[in-house]
Amino acid sequence: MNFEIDGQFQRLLFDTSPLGIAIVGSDGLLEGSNPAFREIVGREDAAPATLSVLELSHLGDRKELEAVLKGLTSGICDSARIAEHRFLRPDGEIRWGRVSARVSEDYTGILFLTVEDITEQQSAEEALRNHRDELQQEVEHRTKELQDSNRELEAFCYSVSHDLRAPLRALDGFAEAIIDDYHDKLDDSGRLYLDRIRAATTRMASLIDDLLQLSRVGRREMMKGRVNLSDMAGLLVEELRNGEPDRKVVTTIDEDLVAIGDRRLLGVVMQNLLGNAWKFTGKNDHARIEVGRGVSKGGREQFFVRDNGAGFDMTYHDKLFAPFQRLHNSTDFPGAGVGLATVQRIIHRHRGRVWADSEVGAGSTFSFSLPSSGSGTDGQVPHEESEDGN
Amino acid sequence: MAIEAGRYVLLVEDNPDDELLTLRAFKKNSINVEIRVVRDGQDAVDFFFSEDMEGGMLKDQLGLPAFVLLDLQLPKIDGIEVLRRIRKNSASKSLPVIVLTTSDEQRDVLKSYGLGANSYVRKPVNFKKFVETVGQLGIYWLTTNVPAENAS
Repeated sequence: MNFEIDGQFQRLLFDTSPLGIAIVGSDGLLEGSNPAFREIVGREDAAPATLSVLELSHLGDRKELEAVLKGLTSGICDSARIAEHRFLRPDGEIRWGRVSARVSEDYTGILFLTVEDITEQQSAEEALRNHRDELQQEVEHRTKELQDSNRELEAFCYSVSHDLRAPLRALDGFAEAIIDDYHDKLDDSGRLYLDRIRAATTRMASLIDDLLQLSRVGRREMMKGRVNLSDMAGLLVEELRNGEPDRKVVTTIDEDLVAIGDRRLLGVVMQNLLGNAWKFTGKNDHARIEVGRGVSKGGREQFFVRDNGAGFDMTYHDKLFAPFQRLHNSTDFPGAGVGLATVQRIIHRHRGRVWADSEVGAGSTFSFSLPSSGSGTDGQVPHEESEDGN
Repeated sequence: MAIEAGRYVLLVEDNPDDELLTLRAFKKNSINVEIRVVRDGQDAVDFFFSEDMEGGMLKDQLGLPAFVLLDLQLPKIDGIEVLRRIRKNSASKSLPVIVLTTSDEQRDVLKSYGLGANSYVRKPVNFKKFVETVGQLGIYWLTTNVPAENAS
């Protein structure tokens, strides 16, 4: 051996270093090593006779180390690094090392290899990679499940649209036929009962249509653009006035309310909110409906539809947006209880928020905000629905 | 209403209630035209075409109906396919076909027009409206509209 470690201190460092250190001759033979190195490569001898350092490497990485050693011994470079190098221990275990190699300045033909054991890092990374792959597979699996269930839902809605309406047509048609053809044979209550059948049929038909609209809201592809809510509200109010020309309702619509979203879907939102405002002010002689804009605490633009109608008890506000939940009896204010569920569904699809404020007898304000960038993605729903709007 | 002798309307409808109501609606509108009814898609296709319909010949003893009222959801062969075959055959490609169905799903509407339906009508649940609708259809397609066969 033509290399010695000088002095006590160097010996101490050599023996106790957590880095594996090997002294290698220009022929690649291992001439010395510290305990940390021996631990990594799984050998007991510090310098076994005629063992090339290359024999410690995993076959797949051996060439790279060989090239590095060659580069150093032939004087092409003084030092080199290998970021990831596999050592194959006699017990079959693979250890990953980060290897630095340099030419000794004092001893000709001697190379120092230092090896940092990065096996744990490597296995952590591998576990992470596996985990990521598993997650990816899980996502793909879930997506497929979701697509399947969406398809089923679509088929279901289609058959609801077709098959549930058909018997209603028969109910209404034949009730009408009895009224028509057997008018003389019926007394007043007979006719009344048939009218009730027909009225119930109409209600059920509109309920089915509302449900279909709710289901379509989730299926329709969104086309986002600038939507002038002021113009939209103006037209809708006009329609409502035409429907009930005798009602006197003062409406105020702020100008230039512009939202980013799908025109048709936002039309459904405004139609439902204005329709509700119109309906729930029905018993008010001085009905007022206001459409405007405000700013949230966070500086986000929000739109509102406000009325001075019947209002509702805020105790039940969590039921407000759930389908089929009604906070008024259907004699006072008819409806299926699907409208606000539809509104919420649409706003959520836009990744926006919708909330309500109300007081019994004083009216309600329904507000919503939409992401201004319009970057919302299909099918994403915000995590929480808070009431901090105003 | 003056309707040419020998003209008839073909109703393709599998629901007996709807069949009865449609017949009643014609009667309510005093449209005295013969209405022939077939109750599934296969019968509809067989009504027009002998053997296999793609290249099949039109059965000629009857002549074409004035128009077809076609439901979409039918047993065996659905209405969309019936429409496709009617349009594919040169003898019936200009025949007025009115889709009369419960569905107002966009894809049904688009598919029907894409295959050359002349009209798409959603059956109203309210019978009074249904009578009105059938009346409008009947009068328009039987008296107002000039069919292709008369144009030559």
